[in-house]
Amino acid sequence: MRDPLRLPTVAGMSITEPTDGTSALQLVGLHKRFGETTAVDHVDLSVPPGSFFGLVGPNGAGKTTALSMAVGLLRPDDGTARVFGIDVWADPVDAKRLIGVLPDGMALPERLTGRELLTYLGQLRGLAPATVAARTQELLEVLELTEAERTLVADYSAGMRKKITLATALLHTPRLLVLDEPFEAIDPVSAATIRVILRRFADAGGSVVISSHVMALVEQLCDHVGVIARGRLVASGTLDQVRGDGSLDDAFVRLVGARITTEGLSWLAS
Amino acid sequence: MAGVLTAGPAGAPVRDVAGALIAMRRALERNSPGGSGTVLGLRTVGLLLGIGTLLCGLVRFEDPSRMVDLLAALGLAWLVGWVMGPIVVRGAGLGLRPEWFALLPVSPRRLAAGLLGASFVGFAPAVTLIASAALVVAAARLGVLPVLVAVPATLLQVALVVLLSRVVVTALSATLSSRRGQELGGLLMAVIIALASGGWSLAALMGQQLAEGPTSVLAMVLRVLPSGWAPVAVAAAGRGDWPLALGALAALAALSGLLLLAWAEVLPSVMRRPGGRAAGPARGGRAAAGAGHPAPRPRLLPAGPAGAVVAKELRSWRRDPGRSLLLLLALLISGLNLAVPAVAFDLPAALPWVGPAAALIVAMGAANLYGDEGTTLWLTRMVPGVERADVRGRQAAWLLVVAPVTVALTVVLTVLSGQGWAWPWVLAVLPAILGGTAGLMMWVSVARPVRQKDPHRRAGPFDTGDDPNATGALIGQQYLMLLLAALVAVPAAALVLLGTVRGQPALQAAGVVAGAATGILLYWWGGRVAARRLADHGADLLDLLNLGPQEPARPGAARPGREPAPQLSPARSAARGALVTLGILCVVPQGLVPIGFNLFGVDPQVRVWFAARYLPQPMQVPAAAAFIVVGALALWWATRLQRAPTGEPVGGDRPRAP
Repeated sequence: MRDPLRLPTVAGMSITEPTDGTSALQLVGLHKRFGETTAVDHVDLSVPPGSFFGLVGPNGAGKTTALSMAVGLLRPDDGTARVFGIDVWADPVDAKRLIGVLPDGMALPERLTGRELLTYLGQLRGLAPATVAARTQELLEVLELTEAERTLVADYSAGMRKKITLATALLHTPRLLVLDEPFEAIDPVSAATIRVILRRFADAGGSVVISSHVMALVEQLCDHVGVIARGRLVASGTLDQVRGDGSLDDAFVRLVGARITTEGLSWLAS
Repeated sequence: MAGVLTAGPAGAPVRDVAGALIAMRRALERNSPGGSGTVLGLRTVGLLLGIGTLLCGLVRFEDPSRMVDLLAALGLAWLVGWVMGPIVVRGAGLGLRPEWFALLPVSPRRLAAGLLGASFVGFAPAVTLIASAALVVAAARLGVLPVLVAVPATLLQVALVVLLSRVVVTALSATLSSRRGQELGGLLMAVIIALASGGWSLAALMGQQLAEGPTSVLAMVLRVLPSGWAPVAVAAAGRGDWPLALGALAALAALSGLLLLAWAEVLPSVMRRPGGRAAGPARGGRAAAGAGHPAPRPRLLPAGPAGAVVAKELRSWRRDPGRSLLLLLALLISGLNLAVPAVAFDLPAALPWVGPAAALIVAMGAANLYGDEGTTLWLTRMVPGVERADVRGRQAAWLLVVAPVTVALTVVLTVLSGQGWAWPWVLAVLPAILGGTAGLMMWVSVARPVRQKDPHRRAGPFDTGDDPNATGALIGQQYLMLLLAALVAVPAAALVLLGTVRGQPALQAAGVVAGAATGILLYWWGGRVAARRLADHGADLLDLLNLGPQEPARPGAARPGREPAPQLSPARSAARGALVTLGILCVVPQGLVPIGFNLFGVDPQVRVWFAARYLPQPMQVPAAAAFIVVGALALWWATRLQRAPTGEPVGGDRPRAP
């Protein structure tokens, strides 16, 4: 872990850290254990407002656990998460007004259609009926879910589930989007649409945090990157700081200490 | 069988194919939810049923046609079991699917022979053979020649049920792999549960029908159906009616042959559809459209959070078979145990109670609202300050669904029964049960949830997940809710009882008022406590539903989870299942029902399978009471088995892959 890219962690802060507490998302000493396994090991992370932040790591590195704790869906064993200075766990009501979340692998109300789901969520959030109707229509159109108008969520494909969950995250115009693997199982056309939506949201001053293990995608979309491996944040900063002179792929392999297998399945080539 | 097994160009490969398929099916059973314990439990029950059927062949009848009635009815039961069983099992992801083998370089003919061979080998066909051998046992009393008829009749009967089962399940294959199939499996499962609890009344009705002799409609139907042909052949051989005996055997053989041809016809079409899963969106589209509401309708309900929750919940009740089957199950159980006996044994006093009993039973399944929805709770958690609306909306929706059905049932049946005395009773009890359940179910849902598999990962409405302890916890929660729902009616019922005993209508009226007051108070209180707990401990609830019971993260943090219970060994699991079954049978049909019959003065000739009713009159109630004691002991023993640690603890630390 003695990599030059390992950032100076004075009091757990990375160098991109504006320490005045106005980070869009700030994690301090976030820690979670499941039995004997430490899933997230005292992670400190700061996402500057208006940035497009990519959290990358191998499968099982702790991305989902860290993001779940960051948005108030999983109670941390230790540490704090702040959204624009508001403690997610101490003041959840105010914090959750500001966040839109796409969790990975969580259930949805299976017996509702996409439109019904968005309509009820809008109502639950206390939005005016006309606003709910207009936004729902627009979200379904943009995410190409209008044709599945009458389809129950139970019958959605994996990609459609992602898209409708993304719609629930956008419905209430949050200031921070936290999206766990938003492009997984999404077809290329929808992925391009989602990239445009997210880019525009960030350009307009919104902050986005996505997790992914597709380096090319993160390199293309994000201006800030954090690398997580075995529950620890091993690098964090602007894209250029983290990748240095090489590609993000190279930096990632170096940072997580992975070994690429070069042999095996000899019978297949014989 | 040997002919089938060697049907391929070379004998050995077909046997290999069949052998591989049998081994594969065993592996599926081993890895099934609940594992080998469940399979062993089911096999114990199956073996008992098989032996029980075999022993029925020993029953002596004055009139041989009664023997045909009995054996034909049992044959039909086994046939229905063979058709329904795989549909239920397929919902749980068990059983071999022909479409899995579509890409194998094995000829369809050889694969067909292999699959058929595999379906004739195993526990279920063996148990069916034991059961069908009742024909041989019965024939033994009729002479040597009837036995010679009974042996091929037994084999043909087994072939018939296995083949029919294959044809039906293969033809339904595409449907069974889809959500529709899972729902169909769930519906059948509900019918099976209802029959297990109240089938005795139908059996009694059938017994009455058959007592009218072989000319009754039921007796005719039993003989005309193919499941009755084997007993008809044996009885005909006993009478020396050889044309009928040999004709029936020939008909059985011909039908089996036809089924074999039909199977060969259906199988390739299933194989051409690899994957077998029916297209999702198109079907689902129809499902949603079929439910009639493609888009939210103009609102009858108030706008705002609570209205949204009510509307969402009402849609769930309409579209989620887990919910609608619950209501159906409650109505079936209540109807079979009260309404059918009321008509069959002329007991109008039972009719007013059908509605309250249904309300009690539906309450059992109402108390795991958040557990049933799994991690869907994250959506509620991300909407700030919505807990109260969520709880109140769910309560209102539950009442809107359950109250109209149970109230209407109660009013209509009380009027029809002409039991005027029952009015204060049902008017006092029903509102207390309904309101009390609507309040207490929220409290139990939030405070004692049972973690379930996430809805989109379930194999059907009755899939409780891979954790064998969750099933036990769920049953515990259901009985807790039944107890609570019954207890809330006690104060109101006590007042009515007092008024009845003293002949004071004012006290009876006070009971009615008390019932309504109990209902309203508990509705308000339960919702209030639940909303507060959901707001304060919602994160812990989501942790439990997401990750399972965890060690306390911090001192002072609430622990909605329970201690992880030890996993039972297969043998103990089977023993527990047998004890619970025995306990329920002793307490309810052999204990409470005969006592109820004596209290209400049912015709002493109505005995059916209630053992105590066969004793002299003064002995009947003590005998039934003894059954209740034995049953209670069996149930107590079963709970002891549940607690005794025999294996590795499970369920505690299973983090989802981050």
